[in-house]
Amino acid sequence: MTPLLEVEAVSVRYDGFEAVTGASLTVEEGRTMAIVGESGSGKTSLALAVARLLPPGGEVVSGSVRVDGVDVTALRGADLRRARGRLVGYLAQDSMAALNPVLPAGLQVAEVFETRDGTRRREARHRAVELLGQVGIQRAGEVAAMYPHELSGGMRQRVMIAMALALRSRLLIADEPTTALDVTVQAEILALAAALQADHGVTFLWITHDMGVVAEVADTVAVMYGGRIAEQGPAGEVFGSPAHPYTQALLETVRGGAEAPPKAPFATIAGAPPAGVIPPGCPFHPRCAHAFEPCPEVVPAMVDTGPGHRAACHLLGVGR
Amino acid sequence: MARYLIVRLGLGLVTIAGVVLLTFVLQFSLPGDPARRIAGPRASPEVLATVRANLHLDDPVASQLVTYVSDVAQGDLGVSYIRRRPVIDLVKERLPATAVLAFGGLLVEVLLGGGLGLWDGLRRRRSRVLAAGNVVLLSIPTYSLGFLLLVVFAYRLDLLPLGGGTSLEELILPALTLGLFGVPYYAAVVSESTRTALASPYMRTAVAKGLPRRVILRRHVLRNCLSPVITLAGLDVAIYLSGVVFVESVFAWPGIGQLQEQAYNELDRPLLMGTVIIAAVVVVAFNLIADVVRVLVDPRARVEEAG
Repeated sequence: MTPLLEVEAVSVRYDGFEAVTGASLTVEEGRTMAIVGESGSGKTSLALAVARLLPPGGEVVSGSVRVDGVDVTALRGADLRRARGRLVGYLAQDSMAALNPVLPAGLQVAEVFETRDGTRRREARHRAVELLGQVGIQRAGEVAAMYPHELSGGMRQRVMIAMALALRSRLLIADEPTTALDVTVQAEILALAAALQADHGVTFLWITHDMGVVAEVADTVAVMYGGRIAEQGPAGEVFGSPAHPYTQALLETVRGGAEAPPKAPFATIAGAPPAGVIPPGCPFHPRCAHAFEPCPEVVPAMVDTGPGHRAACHLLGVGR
Repeated sequence: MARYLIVRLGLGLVTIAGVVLLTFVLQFSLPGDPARRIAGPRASPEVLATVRANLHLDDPVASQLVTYVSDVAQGDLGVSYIRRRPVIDLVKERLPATAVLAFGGLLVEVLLGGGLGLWDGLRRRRSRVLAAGNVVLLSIPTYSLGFLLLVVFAYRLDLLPLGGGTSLEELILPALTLGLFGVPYYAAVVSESTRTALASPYMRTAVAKGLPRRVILRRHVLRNCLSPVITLAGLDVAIYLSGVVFVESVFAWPGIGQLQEQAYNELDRPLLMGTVIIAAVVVVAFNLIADVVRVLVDPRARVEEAG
């Protein structure tokens, strides 16, 4: 297997604030990597950097992102526009806001064919309706003429997925696309994503804070904290033997919920994630139960802890 | 939609009824005796009495109101004291000139204001020059700008006629005067809508799709500016169609505004009251039209207004 996405030592900065620091990861073609982290962990900034969708003021200050062998951080102007969508597609969390409220759903899919492939309007509309049917929308012809606010959250997310299918993106970034949906609809969308992967070989970079979703979709997992990747590896490895205290604490919050007696208090991680200023050394040290001398001063290096499984923690360096 | 229209239509009728009532009350504050204005200063008491009787001026106020309202409801706005012709005919004569000026002014403000707004909205930072220009335009009284344009372009530079007619050349300065006052509003609204559209998550979707810039601008930015512009334009058309007194009087533009000014100077009650009521009807009608068009253009409005 060849890696479709190679992120190498990427740092993202907004007007002096570093949101992502030296993040590296790879995703094999046709696989799904989940990026897990709390709000402010830098997971969305990293995803936006990969998609070249950072808002004004945000930029990749170092490192490189290669998608299918193309260095997307170096793309400019018309090359960048042509690469958009083809290489990287983007599934947003809030499908209501991500669809243009004044345009019919079908048109927003069809315009991809019209503008990119030069398809005639009627043919483009026809293909859009076909795709809407493929993503499981009943009476796709009628739905194509409807406006986003007339559709349910699940249907809107299906429209977004149809859009990604129209783009035939090699890599699809899913930025918490199921967070706003209720559980049954969420399960349907996850199943649809899995079907897409099986049928079209789509590669996913799935951004989420929901461990249940991670367990469902991910082949590999990267855990982010304070702008850095704390741990990454195959999903089974990371869940089975988490190496970083943050990952352990994160899993504790979920497992505590499932195994604890009813009405027991939720397990939580003491303290709050860094906001604005990221602590020096290991960003997690102020909240870490195992912090010792080097943690506040030295940034821990990534250490291999198993096949494809790596973590950045001083505890691993001293040979626990 | 049908229910919404009926409700709006009803509210419009209430507004017009309010204006009719108000003009009726306000006429009593006008100086002078209507009968004497019609019959002339040398009329005999008998003639005056006849005129008063014809105009129902000696009836109780309540019965005068009933007569007046029923006349207005039947489209009879009375006869001008001075011109001795039905008010409705006088207004009809003036309507074409006023309409031409109104659409000229609208064209200026939509194109110039909208264009500047789009330019400003696409900039990284708002233009200070435009902001300063807007403040200047908002601060100048109508007649000052009108006279200024007249002096510069018609008198000093002698590029355009001084006015008095309704030719295309004579339209330029009054339309510009009228339109320039709308420019700050359109510029602000379009600039804001453009910024909102550009910063929205759906713009991120559009960019992520790799759409060409012209498609993004036309389909995803301009479409979203349309709705507030239609609302503004609907209000403006209504106000302009009901007569713009200052602009028309400065440029001697033979429209309804000029007629209103003359009616005021001549204390011509029926003409004054008639033009005010017609203005109310036009404003109500165009507000309604603008709302309907807005609903057709912006699907979100359908939901908001269905309830």
